Amino acid sequence: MTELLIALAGSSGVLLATLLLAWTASASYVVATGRAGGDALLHAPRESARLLRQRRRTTLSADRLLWRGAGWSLLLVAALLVALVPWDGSALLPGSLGVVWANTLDIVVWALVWLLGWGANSVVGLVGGYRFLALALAYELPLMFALVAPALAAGSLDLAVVAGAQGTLWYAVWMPVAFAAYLLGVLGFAVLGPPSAPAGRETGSGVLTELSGPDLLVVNAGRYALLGAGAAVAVPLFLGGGAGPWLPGAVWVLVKALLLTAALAWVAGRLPVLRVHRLMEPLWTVWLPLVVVQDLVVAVVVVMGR
Amino acid sequence: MGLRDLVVRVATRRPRVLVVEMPGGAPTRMAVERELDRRGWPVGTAPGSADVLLLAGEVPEPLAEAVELLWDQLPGPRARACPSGPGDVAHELDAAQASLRDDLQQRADARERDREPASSWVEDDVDHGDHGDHGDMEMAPGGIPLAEGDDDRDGLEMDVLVHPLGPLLDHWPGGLELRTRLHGDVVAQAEVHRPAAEAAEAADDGPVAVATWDAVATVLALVGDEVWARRARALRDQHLGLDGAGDQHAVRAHLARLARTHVLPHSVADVLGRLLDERLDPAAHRLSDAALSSLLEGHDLGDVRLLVAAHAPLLPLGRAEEVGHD
Repeated sequence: MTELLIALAGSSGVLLATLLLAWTASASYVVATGRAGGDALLHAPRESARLLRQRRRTTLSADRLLWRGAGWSLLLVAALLVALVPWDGSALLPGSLGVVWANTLDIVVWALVWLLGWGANSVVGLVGGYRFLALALAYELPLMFALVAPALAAGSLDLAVVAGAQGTLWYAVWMPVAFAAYLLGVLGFAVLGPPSAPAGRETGSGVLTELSGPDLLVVNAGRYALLGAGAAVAVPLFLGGGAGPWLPGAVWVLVKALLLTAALAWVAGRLPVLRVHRLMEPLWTVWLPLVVVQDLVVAVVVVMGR
Repeated sequence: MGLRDLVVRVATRRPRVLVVEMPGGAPTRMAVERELDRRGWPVGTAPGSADVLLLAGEVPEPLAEAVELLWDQLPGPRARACPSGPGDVAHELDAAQASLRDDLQQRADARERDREPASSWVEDDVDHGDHGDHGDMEMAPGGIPLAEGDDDRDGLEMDVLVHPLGPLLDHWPGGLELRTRLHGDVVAQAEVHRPAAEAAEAADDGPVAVATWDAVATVLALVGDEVWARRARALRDQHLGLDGAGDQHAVRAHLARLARTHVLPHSVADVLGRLLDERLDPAAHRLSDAALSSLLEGHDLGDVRLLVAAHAPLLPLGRAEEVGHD
C-alpha cells in the first residue's frame, strides 16, 4: 500500500516537473522573440485556453489513430525522460541503463514526429515529416556519441552513478563538445529553434499544418516539454546532478534543469531556422568527428587516471 | 464574471491572425502587420489553428470561391476581417476580437457548419456517386487521385504530385498562384497564374525602398527570425513616412550573416542585396512569369517560398502580357 502511494506521489511529481519545465521553456522562447517577461509567462495559459476553446478539425482520409496518437505521445515521452532523472540519488524509474533509456526515448520521437506529418494526409505535413527524418539522421549520431562521453568517464550507464562521479568538476566543463552536441540534439527532438525546419513557417508549419485545438495544444506542449526534459536529463549527465552547497540535492537538480531549460529555449527562440539539406554535411563531416575526438579524449583521460 | 467568461477573455486576448494579401492589397497588409506588432497578436501560418482570417484588400470576384474554401478550414471559433484600407485595420481587428468573444454567435456559426472535412481541391473526374466499385476507391481514396509516376531529375521514377501554392497564402504576394508539380518536396515544374490580374492594375507600387524592406521583412519572418523581421518592418515603415526607426546597416549585416551560414539561399540574399543597393530597379527589371517559373524550378518547397518573397518587388502586379522581359 505504501509502495503504491509512493509511486503515485512520484508520478505526479514527475508530471508536475514536466509541465513546469514546459512552461519555463515556452516563456523563455517567447521572451527571446521580443515580448515582455510578464506577457511571456501568460503566453502558455492564454494559448492553452485558446486552443482548448478551438474545435477539432480533421482532413480528408486522415489516419486519425496514428495522427492523434503520435501527437499525444510526445508529452508522454517527455514525462518518461523526466522520470529517468535522479532527483535525490534515486529516480522514479531507476535503472542501471538510464543513459540507454534516454537515448531510446529520443529515438521514439523520430516515429512520433514522422507520424504526425503522415497522419494528416497532407502534402506539407508529409514534407515536414520527411524533413524531420533527414534532420534526425544529422543530429542523432553526434547525440549518441555525446552520450558515450559521460558514461565512459563515470564507468556506468546509470544516471545516478554518472551524476555522483563528477565531484567538483562537472562534465560540461571538460567535455564541452559532447555537451553542445547533446544540447543540439535536444533542440532537434523538441523541433524548436534552428533545427525546427520540420515545423518551419516556410512550409506553412510542416507537420503542424493540419492540427487544431487540443491536438495542437498537446503537440506544442510536448515540444516544450521535450526541450525541458532533455535539459533535465543533462543535469545528471553533464551538470553534476544534485551537487551544490546549502540546498538539498533535489532542489539543485530542479534549479539547474530550469536554468538550462530557460537558457536553451532563449537561444532557440533567438536563432533562425536552418535549411535541412544544408545541415547534413557540416553535422556529419565536421561535428561528428569532433564529438568522436571528444570521446577519445575522455577515454584517454580515464585510462591515464587508473 | 463567471468562469466561462474568464476563459473566453483569456483565450481571445491574443487571437492568431492568418493574414492573406489580396491583389493590390500590400499597403493594407503592411498596416495590418504594424497593428499586429503593436498589439502583440501572433501571425498564423495555417488556417487549421487560426482564429481570424484577415483579407488585406478588396476580394476580387475570381477569388471569392477560394476565400470561402479557406474560410471553411478555420476550425472555429472564427472571425473574418476585411479592412477596406490601412485606416480601417484597427477597427476591423477590434470587431474580429469582439466576434470571437461572442459565444452565442460562435455557437450559431458552429451549428450551421458541415462537420465533414472540406472536400478535395483537386478537380476530380471520379464519379463517387452510388457505385461501390472497389477499384475506383483505390485509385482515388477520398476523391483525391493518387500521384502519378514520372522521371525524376536523378533518372529514377518518382511519384509526381500536383500541388498549388497561392493564390491565398500568408507571406505571399497577393493574387499570385503557382501550380507546381512536386517530386518529393522538390518543385520540378511551376506554372504561374494570376486568377485576378485585373484587380491589381489600379494599385500603386509606392516607393521602391518600401517594397524592398517589405521583402526583407517577409523573408526574415519566413525563416523564423522574428526579432530581425520586426526591425526590417520598422525600416519599411520609416520609408513609408511613419514613425519607425532602425539601423539599416545592422539589418544588412545580419542578412549577410544569414547568407554566409546558409540560412538563406545565396540567390535570395543576392537579390535582396541588389535591391537594397538600388542596382535593381523594379520598374525596369520586371520579372516575367516565364522567368519566375524557371527561377523556381528545381528548388525545394521552402526555398521556393523564400525566392518568391525575395523577388516580390520585381513581380508584375497586373497582367503578364504588358510586362517586358528582364
